[in-house]
Parts: sequence; C-alpha cells; structure tokens
Amino acid sequence: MTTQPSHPRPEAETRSARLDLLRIGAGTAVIAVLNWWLGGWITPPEGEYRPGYLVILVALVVPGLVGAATTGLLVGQRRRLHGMMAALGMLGLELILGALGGGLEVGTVIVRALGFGFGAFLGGHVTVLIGNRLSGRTSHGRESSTQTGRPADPLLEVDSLTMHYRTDGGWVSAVDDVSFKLHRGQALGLVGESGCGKSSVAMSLLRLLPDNGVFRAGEIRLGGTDLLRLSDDEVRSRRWSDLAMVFQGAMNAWNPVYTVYEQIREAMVAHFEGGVTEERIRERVGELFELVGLNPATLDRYPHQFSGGMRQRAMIAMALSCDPKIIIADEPTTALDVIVQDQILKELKKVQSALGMSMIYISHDIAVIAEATEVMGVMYAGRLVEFGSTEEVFSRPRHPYTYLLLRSTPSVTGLRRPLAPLDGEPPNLIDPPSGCRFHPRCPFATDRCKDEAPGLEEISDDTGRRVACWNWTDVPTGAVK
Amino acid sequence: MNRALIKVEDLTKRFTVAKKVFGKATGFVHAVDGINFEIAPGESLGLVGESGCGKSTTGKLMVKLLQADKGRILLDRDGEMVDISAIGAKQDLRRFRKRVQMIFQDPFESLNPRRTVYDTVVEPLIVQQVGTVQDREARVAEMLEMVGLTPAATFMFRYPHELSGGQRQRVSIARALVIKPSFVVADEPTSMLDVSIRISIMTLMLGLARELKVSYLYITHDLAVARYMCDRIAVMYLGKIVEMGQTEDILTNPQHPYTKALLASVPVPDPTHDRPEAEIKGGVTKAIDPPPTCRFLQRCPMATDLCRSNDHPPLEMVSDNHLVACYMADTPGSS
Repeated sequence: MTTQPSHPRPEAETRSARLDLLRIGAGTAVIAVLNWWLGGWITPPEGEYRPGYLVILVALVVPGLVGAATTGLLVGQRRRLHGMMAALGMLGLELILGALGGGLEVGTVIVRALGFGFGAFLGGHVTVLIGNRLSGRTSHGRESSTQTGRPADPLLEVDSLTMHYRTDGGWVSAVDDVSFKLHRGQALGLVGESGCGKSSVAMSLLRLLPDNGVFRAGEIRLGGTDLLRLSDDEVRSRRWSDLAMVFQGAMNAWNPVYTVYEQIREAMVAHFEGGVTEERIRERVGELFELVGLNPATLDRYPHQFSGGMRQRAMIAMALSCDPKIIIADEPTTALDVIVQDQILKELKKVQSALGMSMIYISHDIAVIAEATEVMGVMYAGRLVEFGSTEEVFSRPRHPYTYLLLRSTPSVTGLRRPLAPLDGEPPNLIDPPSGCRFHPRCPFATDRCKDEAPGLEEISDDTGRRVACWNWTDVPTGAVK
Repeated sequence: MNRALIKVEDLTKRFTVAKKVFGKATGFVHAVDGINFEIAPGESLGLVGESGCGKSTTGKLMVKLLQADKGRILLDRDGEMVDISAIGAKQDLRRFRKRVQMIFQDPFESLNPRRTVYDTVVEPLIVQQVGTVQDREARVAEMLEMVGLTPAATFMFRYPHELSGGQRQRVSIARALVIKPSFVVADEPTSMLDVSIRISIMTLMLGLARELKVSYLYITHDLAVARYMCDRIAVMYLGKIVEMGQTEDILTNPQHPYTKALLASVPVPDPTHDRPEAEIKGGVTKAIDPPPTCRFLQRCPMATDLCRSNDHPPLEMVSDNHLVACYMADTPGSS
C-alpha cells in the first residue's frame, strides 16, 4: 500500500539485469581462458598431437563441465528455453574463439564446440530441474502446514501485485499495487470498465499472461506458496487443480475439432497423470455434466453442436474437472442472452455452494457482481479504488468512481431516477494521470488529488472497507439505490 | 393516440434454410412473422427480445436494407400514409432515406476506416444533394458539436482509428441525424460500449430526439436500457410481438409469461434485492417452420390444452394501450 505512485520494482529489475550481464561476462572470460589453455595443451606449439582418444575425451568433457557450470550460473531459476539459448550462444562463441585462436584443426574445434554446447544445454536442464525439485518440495511443505492451520487464514492473498505490459509505446501499467484476500468458500467480484485491469488480474493469478506481461512487484500467495515464484512447470501443474477458469468467450474457448469430452478429458489426464482409468474419467465427466445441468448423452458432441449457454455450462464442467480450490469466472455471461445469463449465474452459485468452492467473478456489469458476490473490489485504471462487502459497497459507495458507476447503471427495478453520465473516458495507461488516476473525471477532485496518489486505506467505519480516495467523506451517502 | 409517423402492417420476412434440387425452397426461418405496430412522431418504441427473435431483421426491414416478403410499411408524408415497402426505384428510395436512417450496433465496424469523420458524416448530405459545399461543411460542424465532438474542427479530419468507441458511436449518430430524418432505427447502439460511456450516449440520443423531433425504433436486449430510452416497449419472441405497451406498464405489470421470465432474469444492481425465479424452460427454440401453435409453447410454464390446440394467439388489448398475445392473459385486469 504505497502512498506514492513510484514503483519499487523497476530499480530491482535493472539491478538484476546488470547482474545477468556480469554473469555472462564472467562466463565468457572463463571460457576464453580455458579455451586458450586447452588449445595449448592439445596442440603444443612444438611437437606432436597427443593421442586422439584423449583429445576427444578432454575436448568433450572439460568444455562440457565448464559449459554446464556457466549455464547453471547464468540461467539459475529461469526457464529451460533460456538455457537452450545460452547453450546455442556458447556454441557460437566457441566456434568463433576456435577460429580466432588459429592453428587449431577444424575437427578439434567442432568437437570442443559440441562439448561446450551439449554441456551448456545439459547444465541448463539440470539446474532448472534441481531448482524445480527444491522449490517444489519446500513450497509443498509450507503449503500443507498452512492448510492444516487456522481455517480463518485467507485461501488466496494478493499482495501489492504490480504487473505491467511492455509495449513499443512504453510500459502499460495494467495492474498497479493491487491487494486483496479471498477466503475459503467466498465469492469475490472485480468490477470496472474495459481496460481497467480486471482481466489482467485474472490472468496474473493463472500466470497466463502474454510474453510482454511483466510482474514488477507483489506476491500472489495461494495457501502459503507465492505463485509468482513458481516455475512454469509448477504453475502448469497447479493451473486446473488449484485455480481453474471459466473464460469469457464460450464460443472461442473451445477447440472446434475436438469433442467436448476429449477436451475435458485432456485436462484431467494431464493432471492425474495416468492415475485414472478411461472409464473413471468418463464417469466423472458425466457426473460433472449432470452437475451443471447438461445431459451426459451429449458428451461426445462437438462444441458447435452446443448452444452458447450449453457451451458455457460445459466450460464450468471443465473448470470443475480437477477439483480446483478457486474458480475464476472472467465475464462468464457477457455474450449470453439475459435468460441464459440468469441460468448460468444460478448454476455457478449452485456449484459454488455445493462444493464449497471459492469464486472470483470478473465483470463490467455491476448488476452481475451484485447478484453473485459477497465481497467486491472496484478497479479503475489498473488500481483497486474500493474494496468491501458487496452489500456495503452498493448501499454506501465511498469512492467517487464507485458512486458514479452505480449512479449511471440503469435498473429495471426501483424508481426510474435520472441517470448521471460519467464524463470523460478511462485514461491511457502508458501515461496515466498524475496523483489519483481518477482525478480528471472526478467531481470531488482537489489539488491534492492531482499530485498525490491515495493509497487503498481502511476507512474508519469498522466494516473492513478500504477506499483509495482523499475526499471519500465528500461522497454523498445513501443516495444510490 | 396521435397520428402515426410510421405504421407497420403484417410485416413478414422469411429466410430460406433448405432447398430442393432445383432451388425450390422447402424450409424457412420465420424471422419476422406478421407483426403490427405504429410509432407516433417523436415517440420511441423499444423492441426487446433475446438474440434470434427477429428484432434486428425488423429494424433492417424498416430502413429497407432488407425487402419484406409480405406486409406494408406506411410512412407519413405530409399527412398521407405512403406505403414504402413497395418502392424500388432509386429516386424514391433516396427520398425515403432522407426521412429514415439507421444507427448500427458496432461502432468499430460500421465506420469506413479509410474515411475521415467529415467524409463519413457529409456522405448523406451529398447523396441527398443538400446545399453547397460550404453549407454542408457548416452542417457537419454543427452536427458534430451537437453530438458532443467539440470542438468540431479537431475531430473533422480524424480517422475512426483515432477515436474511442464512444466517440465513434457519436460519429454514427451524427451521420444518421445530419439530414434531419424523422425516424431512426437504432440497433443496439450502446451494447458494445462501456457502462460509463453507455449512459452518455443514451442521454445524448434522448436529448437529440427531443431537439430534432426524431422517432426511434430502439432495438435492445437490455430491458434496463429500454426503460430509460423508450416510451413504449414491444417484446418479441421468435418473429412475433408477444406483448406491447407503455414502458413502465410492461415493467411493473407484465402479462405475457415470456416478458415475466425476461424481467425476472435481468440482474439487479442491488445485492439486497431478491429477484423472483424465472419460470422458463430451456433456451430459445429455432424459428424454422414452427408449428402453428403458440411460439412460446415449449418453454411456457403455464401452457394449457387451450394453447396446444389453437394457433398462435392474436395480439389483443388487455388494458389501456397494453397488448398481449397469450390465451392465459386475455382477461382484462388480471395479473
């Protein structure tokens, strides 16, 4: 909860980048020295070549070891891909060094280059594997101890999450210092206009970001494990079993050339790793279909044979297939008709209470959030501006943005009060407004709002409400409904 | 009721879905099936229903983007009702389009990306041969100011990609209203926009309707939006109008089981509100060669033998200006 809009992470990031460069430099130096020494040893300036098999052995093993060590140093916990890239780089380096050194036979150079390359490749793999094994063991250990602990502990804790997208135009601060907690069995909602970062939060939780999405600070703790510190493989193994997602486009989320059953089966097989029989999977998917109100006889149909509502139901069945702790529903009903939307929302609620699951709803429609959730957060321009129990937020919005959002939502019930348009448009997140990001559109803004960004602070009404606004006391109360 | 500006009689449109070997049609989607309604000058009628109920087809028929198979569309021209469904000559069509315009749903697809805002908005004036170049420029500038693209000079020569979704929809509105039509079909003009922008577009359209005395046929799936935009609402189901009446009357006293289900399904932005359960079965059935019985029969929670043995019920007056097509709701005053 920073009061200043400055990001602590960019500095850290440049520092780690510098460290990487240092490592690469050191690695190169070691290789260069070894190369020179080896070159001298294999082909002494005067005299004969040493026996062939020894040459090959030494030329393969020593560079291999060096390569492995350097890559290990270089790659550390990073991805295997980086390891492979480093290996390729070293292979090239070795070739160049060999050629520059001169006097070497082409065969020797190639053999040694292969040695380096292979060693580096192997080193990368081994390091990543060891890293995974170690981090996996410790994280699992910690997790189980927390789970058996106090039940009041939040299941999911997002702590000052900051995720930016790298673009040609600069950094897009899509998620900025977002913190919230989700308890077991709770339904949490995130609401905001398009481009406010709510889907980016969802994708961050699942670590399903595009390549240019960079975590710059914060933690996502799920039962004691920081999801941001896990390797890709670790995250993949947790994706459906800890956190599952119901995607927005029920149309596009399915692969049209496989049957629905095949697609759900794939997710299950990947997670149970052959521990279940085909019959058991089929039985289980059938049960899930019944649970979400689909006829198990339709299992082997293709997605196009399903209507929009049926596809979304099947999507929910798929999300449930690996018994997740949390289901994230990103605009689960947006493309659907009202009646079907109502049915799907009811289905989700039913499933949630039946299985005691935690849910995160993401929607631009505050009516959906009002119906489905117990606690909610309002996002604006990448920041969480208000957080509290859904009932409280709706009956007494404290942030001007929440207030105006509620005022500008038409409803079929209640009095037909005049709608207050919310002037202006959401800001460009490459260059967000100074201070409070809402100040250019805010009718309550003062000079302070232009200069200082308010933190998401707990306000003194003992309901656990948090608001990021300097002037929240100016927002009219009780006027909305 | 005042004299109608536009009146629709027995409007019907069928799309062929199956053909015999020599092209003789054997299967039809009854997209719009014999609907009747009228809109008074300056009035706004909301056409509400789920996707696939024929509301967009109705809109396209009204601006003659589609040719009706049957029925008449009568437009008031200096006190006399002229049937426009039969016009085919270019000249007549042009004269008709001067009075009737359309606003499309998707502001990203309905504007030509290679035309500036000015080119887009001036086009109807050129087609209608209104005034000189200077006159047109002044009209476009005035219109852009009216839709809130101020100052007009800074927007005139921008391309659609330089505008946000809300601004683009403002351009579409400017294009539709620049020749001062008396009737505009608005096909879900706000459904692609964000909540906060949606309201400003809605307020803008309401303001312009009052200022320029335009009638709207406002097509939407969102009853809450219709509540704010429309004087009257017509609820469509599978090509038929099943209920029509004053907006507040429909919302507070719905008669048709489909309207009731629709209303019960709309989420309410109030966590303390307890919505009644929507009593409806399944999803939208297809309108391919439907049986002559009530279209809503399969999903209806209160269907009786009367419904099963008779044709689709006629749209009948149940109370003042409130029409319902349901055998079970035909006693006036019942609820």
